[in-house]
Amino acid sequence: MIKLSNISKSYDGRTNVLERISLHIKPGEFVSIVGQSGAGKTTLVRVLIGEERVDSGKVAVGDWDITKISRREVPFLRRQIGVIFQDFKLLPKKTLEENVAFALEVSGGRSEKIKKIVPSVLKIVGLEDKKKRYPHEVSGGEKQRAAIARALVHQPKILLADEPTGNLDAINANEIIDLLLRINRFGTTVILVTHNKEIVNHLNKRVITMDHGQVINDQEKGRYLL
Amino acid sequence: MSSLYRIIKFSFQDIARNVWLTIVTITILLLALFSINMLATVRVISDNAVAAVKEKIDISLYLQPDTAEEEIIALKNQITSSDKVKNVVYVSRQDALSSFREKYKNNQAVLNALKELGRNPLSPSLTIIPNNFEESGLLIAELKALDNHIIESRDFSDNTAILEKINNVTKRINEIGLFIISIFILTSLLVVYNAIRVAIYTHRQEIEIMRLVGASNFFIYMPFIFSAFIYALVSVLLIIAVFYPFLTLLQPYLEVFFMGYNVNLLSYFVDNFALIFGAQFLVVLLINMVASLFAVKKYAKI
Repeated sequence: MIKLSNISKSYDGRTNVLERISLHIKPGEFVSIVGQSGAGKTTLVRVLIGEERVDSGKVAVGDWDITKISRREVPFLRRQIGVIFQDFKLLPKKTLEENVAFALEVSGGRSEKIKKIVPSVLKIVGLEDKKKRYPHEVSGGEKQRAAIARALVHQPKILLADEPTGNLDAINANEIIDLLLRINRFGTTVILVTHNKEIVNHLNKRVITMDHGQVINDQEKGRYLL
Repeated sequence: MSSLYRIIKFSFQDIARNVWLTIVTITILLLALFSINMLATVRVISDNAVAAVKEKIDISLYLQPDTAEEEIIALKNQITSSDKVKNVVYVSRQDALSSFREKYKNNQAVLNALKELGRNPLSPSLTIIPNNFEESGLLIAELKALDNHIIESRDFSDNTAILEKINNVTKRINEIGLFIISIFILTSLLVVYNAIRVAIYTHRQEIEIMRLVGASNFFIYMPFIFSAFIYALVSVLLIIAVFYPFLTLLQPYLEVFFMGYNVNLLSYFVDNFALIFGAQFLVVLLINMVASLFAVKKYAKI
C-alpha cells in the first residue's frame, strides 16, 4: 500500500529531518508512528500527502510513485488519503454536515452523491443527531468525529491521523481510537501519528518509532519505547 | 454545472465578506474608467473644434465685375490644375447677390441700401478648397503669386495658427490624459491584486481545507478569478450609469460653446456604445485577470 524506499529530506540542505527511511505498510494495516517532537513524524505525513517533496529516495502509494507527482495530480492523491489533525480543521461558520459536504463540493462531487454519502459517513462516526450543529456547539471528540467523517467522504484507502487525540481528554481520545479501529476493520489502512504512550500500548498493533528523522524501531504488536 | 454554481457561490461569499474592500476596488476602477472616458470626451470635443475651424477656412479670389465668363473659367481651370487644390467653386455675381440677400434677409437697412444702389455691387469670385488642410499655407503663397489682370482682390483668412493651437492643446491633453490613465491602470492593477490577496487571506482556512480534501487548483483559483470578473463588470456598469447623466449635464454648455455646429457628445457615446464600453470592459477585465492570476498563483498555492 505504502512503500518508502530510502527517503531523505532536509530543509536547509544540511540537517536531515528524514534520513534514509525505508518502510512498507501493507493494505489494511493499523500502524502507529511515534516519536518525540522534531522526530520527523509530521514531515513524514506531509510527504505522504504530497505537501513536501523528498530530496532522495522513492515514495509509492499503491502503484503511484508520488516522488514524481505533478501539482495537477496532487488533488487526486489527496482524495485517496483521508487526513485528520489535532486541531480538527473544521470551518466554524459551517455546520458539521456542511463541513463534511464541503470536501465533496470542492472536489466537484455531484449534489446527488453528496446527499447520499454525507449522511452515511455521519452515521459511521455517530454524528447523525448533531449534524446541524456548528463546531463551537459540540465537544472536542465530536469535532474530531466530524473531521473523520469528512476524511471518509472520498472513501479513501488510507486514513492518516496526525495527533488526533492531542486536544482530547482520555474518554474522548479512547472513543476516537475505537472509531479508527472500526474504520480499519472495514479495510482502510490507518496510520496513527501520536506521542500518546497509553494509547499506543493499549492498541497492541504495529509501532514505528522515529527519532532525529530516522526509524529506530519497527515492531509488530509493538509498544511505546521512548 | 454544480461546480460552476459553487464557484459563483464562493465568489459572492468572498465579495460579501470583504464588502469594503470590494467598494474601494470598484471605486478605483471607476475613477480609472472615468478618466478614460473624460479623455475620449476631450478627443471628441477637439475633433469637433478642429472640424469647425476647418469649415471656416476661406480662400477666395474676387474678380473684376465685368470679367467675361470664359476668362473666369480659364482661371478656375488653371487653379484647379494645382495639386494643392481639391476643388474650386465659381460664384457668379448673381449667385453672390442671392446669397447676400439670403444672409441679410432680416436686415431691412442693408436690403434698402442695396435697393437704393440700383445695381449689383458684388464681384464674381472663386472659392478654393485646399487638397490638404495642412498645406493651405503653401496654397495661399501660390495664389498670392498668381498674376492675372482679372483678379480684383484676394481674401485669405488664415486659420492655420488657430488650428495649430487647437492641435497643440489636444496633443497636450492627450499626453496628460495618457499619463493619468497609466497611473490609474497601475493603481487598478495593485488594488485588484491586493483585493484578491486579502480575499485569499480571509479564505485561508477554507483554502487549507480545500487543499487537504483534494480540491482541484481550478476550483481553488476560480472563485477569485470570478470575483475579478465581477469587479470589472460592476465598474463598467457603474461608469455607464455615471457617465451618461454627466454627458447630459455637459451637453447644453457644449451647445452654447459650439453654437451653429453639430456637437452632440451624448449621441456620439450612444452611437459608439458597444465599441467604447465593450473595449473598456475588455481592458478592465484583462487588468483584473492579470492581477488576480498573479495573486492566486502567489498566495493560494497548492
